[in-house]
Amino acid sequence: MITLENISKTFANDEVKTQALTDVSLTINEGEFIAIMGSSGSGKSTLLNHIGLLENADAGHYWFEGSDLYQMSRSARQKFRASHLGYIFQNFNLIDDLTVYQNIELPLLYQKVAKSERQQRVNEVLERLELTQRQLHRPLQLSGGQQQRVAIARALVTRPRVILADEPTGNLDSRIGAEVMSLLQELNAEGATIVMVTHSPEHAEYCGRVVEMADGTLINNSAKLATAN
Amino acid sequence: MFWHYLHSALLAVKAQGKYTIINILGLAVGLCATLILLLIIVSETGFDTYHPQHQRLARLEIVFDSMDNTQVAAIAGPMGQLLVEKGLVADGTRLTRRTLNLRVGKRQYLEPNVVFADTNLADMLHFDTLAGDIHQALTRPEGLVITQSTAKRWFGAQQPLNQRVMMPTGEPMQVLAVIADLPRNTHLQLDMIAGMASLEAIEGRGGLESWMRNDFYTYVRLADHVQRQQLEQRITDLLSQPIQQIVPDFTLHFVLQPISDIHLHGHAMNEFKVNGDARQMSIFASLIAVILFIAIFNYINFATATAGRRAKEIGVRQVVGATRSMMVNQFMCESLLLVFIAFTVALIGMLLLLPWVNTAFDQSLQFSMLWDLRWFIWMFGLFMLVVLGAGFYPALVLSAIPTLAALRGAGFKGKSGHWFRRSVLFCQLACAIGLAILGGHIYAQIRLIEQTPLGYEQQDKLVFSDIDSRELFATLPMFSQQLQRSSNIKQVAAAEFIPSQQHGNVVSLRSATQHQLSVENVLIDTVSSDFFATMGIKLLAGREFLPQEHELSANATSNESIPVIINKTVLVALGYSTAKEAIGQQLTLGWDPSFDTVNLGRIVAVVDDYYTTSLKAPLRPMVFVTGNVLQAKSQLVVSFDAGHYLDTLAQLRTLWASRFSSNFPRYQLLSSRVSALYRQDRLGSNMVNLFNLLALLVVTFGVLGLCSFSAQRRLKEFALRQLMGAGVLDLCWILGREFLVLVLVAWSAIILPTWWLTEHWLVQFMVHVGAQWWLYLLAPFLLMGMIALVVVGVVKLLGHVNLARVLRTE
Ligand SMILES: Nc1ncnc2c1ncn2[C@@H]1O[C@H](COP(=O)(O)OP(=O)(O)O)[C@@H](O)[C@H]1O
Ligand SMILES: [Mg+2]
Repeated sequence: MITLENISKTFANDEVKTQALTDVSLTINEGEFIAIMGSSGSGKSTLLNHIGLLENADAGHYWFEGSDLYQMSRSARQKFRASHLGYIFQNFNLIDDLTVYQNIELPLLYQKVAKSERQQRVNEVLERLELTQRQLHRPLQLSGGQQQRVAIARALVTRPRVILADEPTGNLDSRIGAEVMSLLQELNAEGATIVMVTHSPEHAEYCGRVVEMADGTLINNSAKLATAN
Repeated sequence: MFWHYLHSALLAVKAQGKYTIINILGLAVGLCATLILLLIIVSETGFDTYHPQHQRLARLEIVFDSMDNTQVAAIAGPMGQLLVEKGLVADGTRLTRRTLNLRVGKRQYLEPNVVFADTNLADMLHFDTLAGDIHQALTRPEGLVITQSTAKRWFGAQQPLNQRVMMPTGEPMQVLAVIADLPRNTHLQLDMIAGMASLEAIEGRGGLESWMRNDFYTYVRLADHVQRQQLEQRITDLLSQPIQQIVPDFTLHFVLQPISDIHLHGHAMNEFKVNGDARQMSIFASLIAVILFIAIFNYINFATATAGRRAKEIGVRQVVGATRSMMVNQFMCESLLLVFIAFTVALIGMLLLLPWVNTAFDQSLQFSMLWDLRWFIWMFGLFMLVVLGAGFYPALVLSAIPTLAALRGAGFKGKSGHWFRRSVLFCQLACAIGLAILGGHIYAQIRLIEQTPLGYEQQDKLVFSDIDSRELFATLPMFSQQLQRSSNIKQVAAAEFIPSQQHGNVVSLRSATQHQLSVENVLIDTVSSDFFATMGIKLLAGREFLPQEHELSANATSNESIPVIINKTVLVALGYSTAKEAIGQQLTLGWDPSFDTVNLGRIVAVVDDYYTTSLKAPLRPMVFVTGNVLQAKSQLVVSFDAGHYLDTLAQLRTLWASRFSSNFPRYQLLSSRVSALYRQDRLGSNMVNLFNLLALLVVTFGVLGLCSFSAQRRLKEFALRQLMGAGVLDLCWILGREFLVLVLVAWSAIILPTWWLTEHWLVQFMVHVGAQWWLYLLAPFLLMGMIALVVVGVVKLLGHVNLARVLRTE
C-alpha cells in the first residue's frame, strides 16, 4: 500500500547538521501491524512523521497505492492526510479547553462532515472506547490511559486506513499499556494498517513485523512476516 | 463551522485570562479616543451639503490685495446682480445681516441675527418651511420669515403667522412664514429674514447701490462644468473695474468659496459665525492614525507573543486536519471577537464621555449624530480596519507554524519574532515620545500667545456691553464724575468698540499736508474722554479727547475740523517720522474710499498700536473720533482698584438706576473677554494633549501586556532568582531594562523628526516660542516613569506567587 523509496532527511539547526534519515526504503502492506524499534535518536519518529506526511523529505519518493504523494500539491496532500491517516502520540496531544466529545469531533469538523453524521460517528467511537460516560469531561480530568483512549478515538473517528502511533504506551504504566496494545491489535484485526514506534519489545510482540533502526537507516527490514520484494 | 470558530475564539479569549483583559482594555482606550475624534470630524464635515445642487453653489468673496490680503466674506450690493446680468453665473442671491431693536407687542427685542435677503433666496439655499411661503414673504415689503425658536420666544404658544412686529424705524412687519431652526451643519446664522425692500425702507437705497459697502453675502450658482479659477478671473476683471474707477490704485480680486467649504475653510472677515478649523481636523485625523497604529500593533505584538502558549493547540488542530485557511479563519474570528468586545467597551465609554467632552472642549456633539449614515460607514470601516489590521498578521504567522514545531511547543519565537516585537514597540514608543514633545510645544505656544501683551491692560476692568450709544455718551460725563467719587473706581470711559471686540467700521484717511498719502480700510472708533487712560493704551504724543469735544464733534459741519487721534500704524502710513510732528496736522476722513462724504480732522494725539482682537489678527491702522456715533450700541469700561470687583459692581448698580432709563447691561471682566478670544486655541491644545495622553496610555497597556507576559513565561527563572536572594529591584531591573533601553533608542531616533515637525508648526505664528529643550528631556523620562510603574506592578504581583508551587509545576 505504502512504498517509501530512498528517503533522506537532514536537519540543519544553527550550524549543527543532523542526518536523521539516510536512504530509507520501506514497504507497508495493507493490513500490516508494524513496529519500529531502535535506540533513542535513531530516527524512528522522523521516519514515522515522514510516513504521516508531517515532515517533508529532502530526497526520495512516497508512493501510496500507485500515486506519487510528493508530486501532489500541498492542499491535495493535506486532504489525503486528513482522510487516510490517523495519529496517536505519546503525550496524547489533546486540546485541554475542549471536552472529550469536542476533541473527538474536531477532525470531522475540519472535514466538513454534516452535523448529524458527526454525532453518529463520534458516539460510535465513544461507545467503542467506553468513553460515553466521559464525553463531557475535559482531558485534564482524565487519567493517562483514558486520555490515550480519547486520542485513539479521535484518530479512529475519521475511519483512517493507516494509523500512525509514536510510542503510544510511553507515558502509561504497563497494565494500561497492555490495554492500549490489545485495542490496537483489535483495530488491526478489523483491517486498519498500523505503524507504531515503540521501545518495548513486549509491545512489539503484538505486531506482525518489526523494523529496526540505527543512525537513520533500517538495519533489519525483513522481519518475521517479510512480504516485501 | 463558524460556530466552532466562535466557540474556539471564546475559549481562547477565556484561556488568556488577564492578558485578554489587558489587551481588550488597551484596544478599547485607543478605540474610544478614535471614536470621539471621529465623531468630532464627522460632525465638523459635510456642512451645507443639504442645499440642492450644493456642488454648484459658492459664496463670492473679495480679497483686498493692497490691504494685507484681507478677505471679506461679503461683497457690495450691486456686484452679484451684475454677474447674473452678464451671464457669468447661472443665478445669485444676497443676504445681509443687521442687529435691530424690534418691537413685538409691548416688548423690545434686541435681535442680532436679522437677515435681509433677495426674493429668490429659497430657490438657492434650502430652508424647511413650516408655515407660509418664503418667496411670497420676501416679495412683500412688510413680509417677515422667522424661525421656530424665534416664534416661540416672541409669541409663546400663540400662532405666529400674521403676527405684527415693529421695525426700529416704525415700519410694521408681518410674519408671513415660519421656518425650522437652521440645522447644526450650516455656516449660516439667522433668526429671521425680511426682503431687501424692507432694508430699503429702513436704510434707504444708498447701501444697496454702493460699490464700496461690502455688506452683502452673495451666493451664486455656477453653470455646469465651469472652471472655478477661470471664472474667478473673469469676475475679478468685471467687478474690479467699477471700483478702480473710484479708487485707481486699489488692487483686489474675487474668490468663489464653495458653499460646503465655508465651514472648515472660511476665515474671512465678517463670517456669519466662527467657523471650524480644517487644520485642527487634519491634526485630529493624524492623531487617529497614530492612536490606531499604536493600538493595533499592541494587539499584534500581544497575539504573536502569546503564540508560544498556544503552540500545542495549533499543532493538534493541524494534525487532525485543519488547513491553513481554516486556521487563518479561526484566528481572524478570534480577533473579530476581541475587537468586537473592545469596540463595544469603547462605544459605551464614548457615550459616557460625550457630555464631558462637550463641556470640557466646548463641542456640541450630540447623540443624534450617531444615527448619521456617514458616521455608521466610518465606524464600520474603522471596525473592519482594526479587525483586519490587528488580526491578519498574527493569523498569517500563527497558521504558518509548522505542525511538528507547534506540537513540540515552539511558538512564534526565535530571533525574528523577538525582533519584530521590539521594532513594533520601538515605533510605538517613538510615536508616544514625539507626541508628548509636540503636545508640550503646542501647550507652550498657546500659553505664550495668551501672555503676550496686546497693547492694553486687561486686568481689573469691567466691560458693560450693548448700551444705547446716544444715552451712554450723553450721560457719561455726569455718570463718571459720580462714579469716580467712590474710592475704588479709577476711571470710566465709553467706546463703540473696545479691544477684545471685532471692530466693524472703516474709513479712508488722506493727509491734508502730505497730499499723495492715504490709507484705506482704517478702523474707526468713537471713544469718550479718558478712554486710553482707562484702557491702559499708551499715548505716544498729544492728549486724550476732552469731554466738551464730544458735543463739538457731533455738531461739526463738513468744513469744520474735528479732533482725531491716530495710531502708530496710521502715523507711519501717512509718512510722519515722529509722533510729535503729527500733532496739530490736518487730515481728511473719507467715509467711502472715493472721499465723496468727508470730515476734516485735526490730529490731537497719537497712540501706540494694540491688537483689537487676538494675536492672530494683524495690527490695523486705526483712527479715533469722539462724538460721531455710528453704532446703535456702545460699551462702557470701568477700571477699578485690584480686588474691588464686587463693590464696583454694586456701586454701578445703584448709580445706574438713577441715571439710565434702560436695564442694567450685561457685564464681563475684560480679562475674561480676552481669554475667551483664545478659548478655541486653548481648547484645541488641551484636546490634542488629552489625546496624546491617551496614546501614551495605550502604549503603556502594550508594555503592560508584554511585560506581564514575559514575567509569566520566566516565572520559574524569577522564582529561582528569588530563592537565591534577588530583591524586588533586581527583578524589576531584569524585567524592565529591555524596555528602558528601547525608550532611549526610540527617543534618540525621534528627536530630529519631532524637532522638524515642531518648527514647521510654530512658524505659522507671528509670535512663537523657541524649541523647548526641557520637553525633549522630559518626554522620555515621563515614558520611563510609566514603564517603571508597570514593571514594579508586575513584579509585585509576582511576589504573591507561591514559589514552591512554581518550582514544582515546571
Ligand atoms: N526538528 C528537528 N530539528 C533538528 N533535529 C531534529 C529534529 N527532529 C529530529 N532531530 C534529530 O534527528 C535525530 C532523530 O530524531 P528522532 O527521529 O526524534 O529520534 P527517535 O524518535 O528515534 O528518538 C535526532 O538526532 C534528533 O536530534
Ligand atoms: Mg521519538
